[in-house]
Amino acid sequence: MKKYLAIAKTLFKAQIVYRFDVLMTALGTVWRVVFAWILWGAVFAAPAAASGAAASLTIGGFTFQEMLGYYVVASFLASLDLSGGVSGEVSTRVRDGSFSKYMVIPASPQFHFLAQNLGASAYYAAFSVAVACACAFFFRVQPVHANSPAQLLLALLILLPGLAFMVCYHFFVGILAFKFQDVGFFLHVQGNLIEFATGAIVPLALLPEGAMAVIRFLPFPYVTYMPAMLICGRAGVAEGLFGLAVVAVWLAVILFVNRCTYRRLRIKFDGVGV
Amino acid sequence: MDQPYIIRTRGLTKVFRRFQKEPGLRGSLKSLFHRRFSDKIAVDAFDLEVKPGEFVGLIGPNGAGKTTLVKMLTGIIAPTSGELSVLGHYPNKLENAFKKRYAVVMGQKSQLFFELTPADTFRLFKELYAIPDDAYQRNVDFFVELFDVSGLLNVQVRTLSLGERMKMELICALLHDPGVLFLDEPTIGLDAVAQRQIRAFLREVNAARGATIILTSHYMEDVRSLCPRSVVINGGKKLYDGPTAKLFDAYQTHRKITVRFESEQNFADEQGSEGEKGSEGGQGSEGGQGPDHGSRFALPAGAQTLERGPDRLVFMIPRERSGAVLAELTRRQGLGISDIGVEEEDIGNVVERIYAGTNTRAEV
Repeated sequence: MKKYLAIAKTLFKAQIVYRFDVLMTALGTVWRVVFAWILWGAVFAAPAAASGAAASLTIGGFTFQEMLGYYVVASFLASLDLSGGVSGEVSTRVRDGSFSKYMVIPASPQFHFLAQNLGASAYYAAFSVAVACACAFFFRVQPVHANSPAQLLLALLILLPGLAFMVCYHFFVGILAFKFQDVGFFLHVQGNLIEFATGAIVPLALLPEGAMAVIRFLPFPYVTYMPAMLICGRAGVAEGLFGLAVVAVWLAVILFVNRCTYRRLRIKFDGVGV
Repeated sequence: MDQPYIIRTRGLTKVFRRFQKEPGLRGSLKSLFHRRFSDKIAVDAFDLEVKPGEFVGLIGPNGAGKTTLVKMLTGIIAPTSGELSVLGHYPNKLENAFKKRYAVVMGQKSQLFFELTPADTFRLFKELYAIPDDAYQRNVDFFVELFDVSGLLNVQVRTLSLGERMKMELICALLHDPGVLFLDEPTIGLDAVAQRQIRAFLREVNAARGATIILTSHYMEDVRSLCPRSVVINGGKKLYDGPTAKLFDAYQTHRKITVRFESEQNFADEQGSEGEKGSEGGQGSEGGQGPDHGSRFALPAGAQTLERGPDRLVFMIPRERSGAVLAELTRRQGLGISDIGVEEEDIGNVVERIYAGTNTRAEV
């Protein structure tokens, strides 16, 4: 455990060099909120003009201000998920042979990537939280409506395994390069689907009940959507505990699947270019 | 120790499967429906035994199978067949207990974090290898002093020169006191000073720390000055395994001599005749150019031109004649020679000679 903490700390330090990249990622939070303000402003404006009751109008149970509050929190949480680059990095390193650097040190490659990703996320969090606060102030929204500390604690407890699951999932896609060489197809298909399923694009509460009944058993809603709903006070402790159980099971499954897949596929590694 | 050998291979073989296709778009389209593969035997029934504390040089031209062998010994790739044991482990099981007992440094691959300082990476490796505080500090102090790089510990790796970076790679690899150190082209691309420093460092590590070192290098001088034992490999097969001195004495039959002139030359094509032996570089009879005012450089008898530039000539000469040729070149003032360099023959020639079994000075 200590060695993975050291990896996380090292990557945390390494991020400090990339000041421009960190700044731009943090500003991505602003963009999502601005986008939501424009889009949902238009959606709410039409019926409000017709009924003349703008403040009380709700869509999917959200008022316009609550919707913006959700986006501020969800955008902040989404900015912590840096796992998207893992599949690309792993597959590239497998293809060019530089993956060998992870094979010769006494650490599991999967946990190495997990630790380095969480280390980097911790650094981004410091900037993104500042930007999220600035957004909340600028748009005059109060995003935190959790009724009890238990909801906030649950949000954090779900977020951590949720982020870990995403890294492991992308690691899985990356190590498929041991067999398929090029995993571009997987990367292409997964990108938008997963972002949608995490609730980073629209609140999943807006989806039909049938779709939600299926999605709630998948791990993706627990990366952004459920923690955001808990923080916004729109999900209760029971839902949070259910989410925690679901994401914990998925994390255990993906860790096991990756372990088996890595053991099986790494035998095919040629180490070309090493 | 139960096991007299720290590394032992028996019939070790690695076969790579390579995709083949006909050239052009048509070939590419055909390959979509009909895949063709060929087998490339990179390492072929290789036997090797290395005792603790040995310093072994792996010699061979590009594609000989040296790096593939190192990759199998370190567990990076799995052998196709054969037996393999390193420090009592089967490397490709990738057990942490095994990884903590060896280190590998590849000349063109880095374990250092380019954004951070070497000291940051050293601290990470301390945790990765669970090195006790006192051992860590002792090793850092020892290696940093040996390389005289204390001023570079807190400098961003990205800004280090290639030689400085390689020194840091070596320190990083040795922090956990590995029993075996695999080095793949550690001096590649380095200048002569850095090469010399790294050789001195490795000599010390082998002698003082008792680390077993397996070195692959294209530089003859690396192997010659460091490795009492050499293993020559070509086409995946072992061609020679024995004392380095004996190998070079038997097969390195030529020297490469580079002569630089103060001005452009019109080299004579003909070689010096036997009668000119001892006066190589004899005067040309006509058309002399440059500051020699009439003297023209003629290739010494028995020499073979490797490269010819306007003010530079590189040739190969039998080793037993190199002394006389050098003496003659330095004696003659009228040729306008500005510099003379003498190098070992390229490793490829030596391996070719071993492979062909020709041009030896003595039976090995």
